[in-house]
Amino acid sequence: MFEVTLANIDFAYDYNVVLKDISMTITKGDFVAVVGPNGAGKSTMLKIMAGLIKPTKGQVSIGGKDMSIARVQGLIGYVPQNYGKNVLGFPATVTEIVSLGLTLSVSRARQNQQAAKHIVNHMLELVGAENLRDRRIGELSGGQQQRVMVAMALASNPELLLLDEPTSGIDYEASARIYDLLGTLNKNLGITVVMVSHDIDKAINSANKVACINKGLCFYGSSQEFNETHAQARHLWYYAG
Amino acid sequence: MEFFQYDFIQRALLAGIITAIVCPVIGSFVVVRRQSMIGDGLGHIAFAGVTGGYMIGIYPAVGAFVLTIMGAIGIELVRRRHAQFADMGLAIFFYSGIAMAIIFSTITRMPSAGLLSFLFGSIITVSVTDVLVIAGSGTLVLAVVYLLFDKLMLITLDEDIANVAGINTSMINMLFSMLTAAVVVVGMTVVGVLLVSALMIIPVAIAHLLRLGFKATMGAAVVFSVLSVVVGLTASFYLDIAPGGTIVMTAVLLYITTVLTREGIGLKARWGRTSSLGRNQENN
Repeated sequence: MFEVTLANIDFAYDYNVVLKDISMTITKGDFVAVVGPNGAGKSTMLKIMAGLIKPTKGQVSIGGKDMSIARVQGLIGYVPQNYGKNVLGFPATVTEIVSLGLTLSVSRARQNQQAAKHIVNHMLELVGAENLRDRRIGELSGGQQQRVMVAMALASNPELLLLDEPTSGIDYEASARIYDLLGTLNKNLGITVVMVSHDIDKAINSANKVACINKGLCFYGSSQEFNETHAQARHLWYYAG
Repeated sequence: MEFFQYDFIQRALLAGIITAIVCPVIGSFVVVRRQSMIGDGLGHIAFAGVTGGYMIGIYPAVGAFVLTIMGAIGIELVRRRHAQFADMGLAIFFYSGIAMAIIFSTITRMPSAGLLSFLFGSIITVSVTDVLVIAGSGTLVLAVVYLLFDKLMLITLDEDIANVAGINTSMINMLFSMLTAAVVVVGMTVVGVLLVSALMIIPVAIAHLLRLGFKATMGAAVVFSVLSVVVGLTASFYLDIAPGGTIVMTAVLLYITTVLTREGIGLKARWGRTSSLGRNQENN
């Protein structure tokens, strides 16, 4: 059974505690929205899940496997928050960017150009970016770039998709389209999604689970429960850590 | 053509064209990684290696190779630790290279003619052995880039995404730095630091103006680079001027021409749109 387990995660640097005793289990097919105030440690938690930083204490396992094995097997797709600084001047077409998603996990498809082309086209159709395939990534709007980055992450056929603030700096309509897209991918393809978001209302509408973080884990449960039980006191979670 | 009948010109063209192919291939990654000055930085460390090698009595190119590889490792370690100040680290190595070169050359009283040949190159005097060395190392560099192309491109786009995909980014970054160092050292001993550094960056800058994809940009950069070498070398022969400088200035002129052409096309398109808008308004 595919599960992401965080067990007693602590993270600190230079004596600053960023995360304290985070334990949670994400099951296959979950769509988890990670919410919390600025500086609460949301992105740090996502980076720990992605294996980019090591926790000071505790362990992360994916599908019962150690993080490093899960990464090598291409089980994780990751869309960082600030890829934009690289993308702006990057001389690559959308097709080239999405093809990079094939770099590791489907190396056989990569060798077969026809299969690789088919996968790339399919990913672009999935995210509604098929008309952008020959455009340069730096010339696209924020929302379009985000969809292309999701398509690249999907090309590696991941079990788990991690996204850090996928709608930051994007207008209202484009944000709604990104949330719709992630919801569709989660429901139709069964991909487990963990998304850090500052937009609590939109995030909990798309997700089926909510993790509210403010250094510690303030709440972890269904978005329905979060909506009903904590609707009025929602803002208090932000200061409860 | 009389020009092509001379053996030394044939060797110079061959060495120049190989350099012109290899440099922009490496440069295509270097420019996007915002390390455009790395060729110069490593070149000056290599220069210190030449003078250091002369000082301790070993073949100067060996001294250059050892010190440049060490410099490349150092630059990569600083970039990894202080990514936001990568250019600062590069500058420190650059200045250290010049400083060491000056100190070593004054201690050893190395002849200035020898030093200048490493800085500005002596493409006209390349031997058959030089051509073989540059061809061998060029093939090796191109083979490594071909094998690691997707991984290098993904790392260049975003190191975090590459890390999560299970790519050993530290190892590949280090290997890439060492490849860059090897290109600089081999190129420097044959055609000079100036030409190697310039061919790593200027043709890529021209290709960027064409707004193509990554592979097409790299291909266009190689075409501009080869064109600069062939035209520059021919011009230097007939005008009897320094070949290294002429090749670099040919590349710069190509850059200016491309910028002006692009601006001209843009202006024409904007002017066309404005006049058709004006005509439509008049008709309405």
